[in-house]
Amino acid sequence: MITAILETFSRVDVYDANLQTRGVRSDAWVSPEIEPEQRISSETTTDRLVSRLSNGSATTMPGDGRKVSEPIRKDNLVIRFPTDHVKLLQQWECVVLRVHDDCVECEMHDLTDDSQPVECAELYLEEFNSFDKPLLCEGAVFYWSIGHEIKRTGQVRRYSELRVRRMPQLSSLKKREISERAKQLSELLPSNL
Amino acid sequence: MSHRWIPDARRVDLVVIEPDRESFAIVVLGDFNPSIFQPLWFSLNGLVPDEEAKTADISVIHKQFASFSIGKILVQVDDSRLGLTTIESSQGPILRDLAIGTLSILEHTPLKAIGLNRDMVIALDTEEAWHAVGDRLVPKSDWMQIFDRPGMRHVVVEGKRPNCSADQLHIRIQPSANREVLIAVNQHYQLETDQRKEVRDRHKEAIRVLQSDWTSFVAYSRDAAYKLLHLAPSNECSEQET
Repeated sequence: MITAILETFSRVDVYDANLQTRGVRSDAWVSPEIEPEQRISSETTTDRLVSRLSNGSATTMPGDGRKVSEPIRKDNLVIRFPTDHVKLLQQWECVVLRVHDDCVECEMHDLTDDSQPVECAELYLEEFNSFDKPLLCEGAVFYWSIGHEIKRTGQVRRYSELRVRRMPQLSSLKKREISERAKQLSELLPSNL
Repeated sequence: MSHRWIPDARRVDLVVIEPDRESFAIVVLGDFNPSIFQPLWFSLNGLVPDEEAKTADISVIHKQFASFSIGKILVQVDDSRLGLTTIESSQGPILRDLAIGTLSILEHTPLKAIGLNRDMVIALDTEEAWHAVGDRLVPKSDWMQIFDRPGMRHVVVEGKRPNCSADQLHIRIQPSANREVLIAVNQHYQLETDQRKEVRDRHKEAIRVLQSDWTSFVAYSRDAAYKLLHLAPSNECSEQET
């Protein structure tokens, strides 16, 4: 239970050279495919894999000349923060009310401070990504984020991004489930409504 | 500068924190097939634009493990863990939507647990304030009897969040270079329980968590960081390492 809980942690980390000497688990590696009869017992130890990697070779030879991919240590793919970053100042979830005359009329819900009242705005269609424009119709949801983009050099630029929410198409089974549920609910309502 | 000092008669060292850098991650434990997770799979299912899928940055796609970035979201999958991460704060809602979409498609995949994560890096103004965080969270008096210059490497504290269906919360605090402190908040839900033996029920719960709890988690995690570093540093700032 405890192990499972800790595994839902993110892999984001800050660099700390002093912690790099911790031991690794054998399941922290993605191993190359080797035929069972050619498996050598010592091949499964991480020490061997570490020494292989330290040699810097891209591939290894299992003995018969076949090339085998190098193992990959999953922890090598730890996520690190970039030096350039965006500092978010405000973000809204916007619901499209209508699209007209190259404008998108929307209702804006503040995600940074939910005590703020709902606002309405009109945005130019040209502000949206070309791949998002076909999705803009009544009821579509998009996010508007504004902030500062801060470069490693200290340069600050205004940041504004519009992204339309994408959801998968409902499967026919799901549609049928929803229809059945809607039917069940409608039967609960008095018929004179 | 990451925070500003607010004059206050009661708490002169009150700080308002805005993370210098932050990331969001959604981690799902279950039985996954990493080889199906490819950028094209996400675009074919309408979860990401085709243009972003075509320009995805692929680190590895293997039958045991897949790791690639689409747009500003990093996807990492192995046979027991799906992790979606963004290191850009504006991408939080998009990350949540991608997780909902992905799990909606994988409706027959047995899920075991889900974790919402927010990691915040906050730079402190002075070295004294940085040391004070460690001194406050891990008092050094007991350690000083064992060795010299004890310093906090990281602290993980678990607990339950009031009025929240999450099973556990974990907050990890870790100092880093340049007088920064990482505060990582993990809100964990056990999906596989005696009450939820059916795969379908676990899916419903995972989707519910993402739809209902994400927004409050984002606010809560920021408040948690705020409160943990909000406490006034001791006036007697220690010379020991954090």
